[in-house]
Amino acid sequence: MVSNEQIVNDDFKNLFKVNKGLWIFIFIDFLVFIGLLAYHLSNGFEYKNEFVFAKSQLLFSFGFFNTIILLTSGLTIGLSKVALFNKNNFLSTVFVFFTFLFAMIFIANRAIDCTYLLNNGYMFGSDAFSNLSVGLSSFFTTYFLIYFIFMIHLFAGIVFLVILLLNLIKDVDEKLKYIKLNFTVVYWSYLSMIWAFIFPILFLI
Amino acid sequence: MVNENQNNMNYGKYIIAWVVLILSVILQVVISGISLGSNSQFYILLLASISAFVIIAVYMTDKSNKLISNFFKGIILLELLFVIFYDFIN
Repeated sequence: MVSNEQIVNDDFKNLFKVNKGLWIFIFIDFLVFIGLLAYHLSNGFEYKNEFVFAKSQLLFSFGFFNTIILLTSGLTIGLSKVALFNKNNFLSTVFVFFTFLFAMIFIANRAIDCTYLLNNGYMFGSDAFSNLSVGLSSFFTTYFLIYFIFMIHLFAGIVFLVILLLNLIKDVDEKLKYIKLNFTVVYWSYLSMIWAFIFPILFLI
Repeated sequence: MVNENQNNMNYGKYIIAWVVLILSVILQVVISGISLGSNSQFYILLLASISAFVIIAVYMTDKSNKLISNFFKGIILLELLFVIFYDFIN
């Protein structure tokens, strides 16, 4: 087994290198999200009054709370990287666990938000949805589409977190821990970055 | 050879970045609540772009991937320019 000290002395630059495939995925995925958000924004200019009404129907406090939760989870996963680098495996595991916990709170929050919209007839696919005006249906279609795609990303992130947690708990190779942790940190931070655009465009503008 | 600074990472920059991000979100909410006309959209998008820039610079990239870091920062800067240009033509 390779010790931490050996790894650090090997080559610092290689320690936190992330697979190029992940960067390519992030780049393409980012363009998809930006395209969807731009489409939503342009619809907002066309159906201005309906979009203002639609936003008043959303649970703003839940969206705001989710933003704080996601940004804080970004912090904890970042801190886990620092902890592991400082050779504190236990603290790193605790931080990753907190990130997992925040992700669960985010999902629970989202479930409440979705239930509320469903009860008010704004859920995409429900009977009441077909009776909405063009502007409102346009708003909620892109709203749910963006949210749905984001949630798929989030679930994938949770899978990465679980794999990482298992690797941190188990006595695996130190280098493998670094690689898996850095992959998850980059991916999870990317989710925070996307959310930095989703929240203002869906809830504020 | 690895120098002493490279052997230690501190939590400070991550916590400062988090505080900046939280303040940015609060500021966005405040701006959306006050009447600034069409300018409020510009300021909110500007703050969102700055938040994304901070996340890329602090959380996503480090010394090991400087090229990728600069590439993504470039994308965000282009987006920032687009926001400014969009605000200008409207």
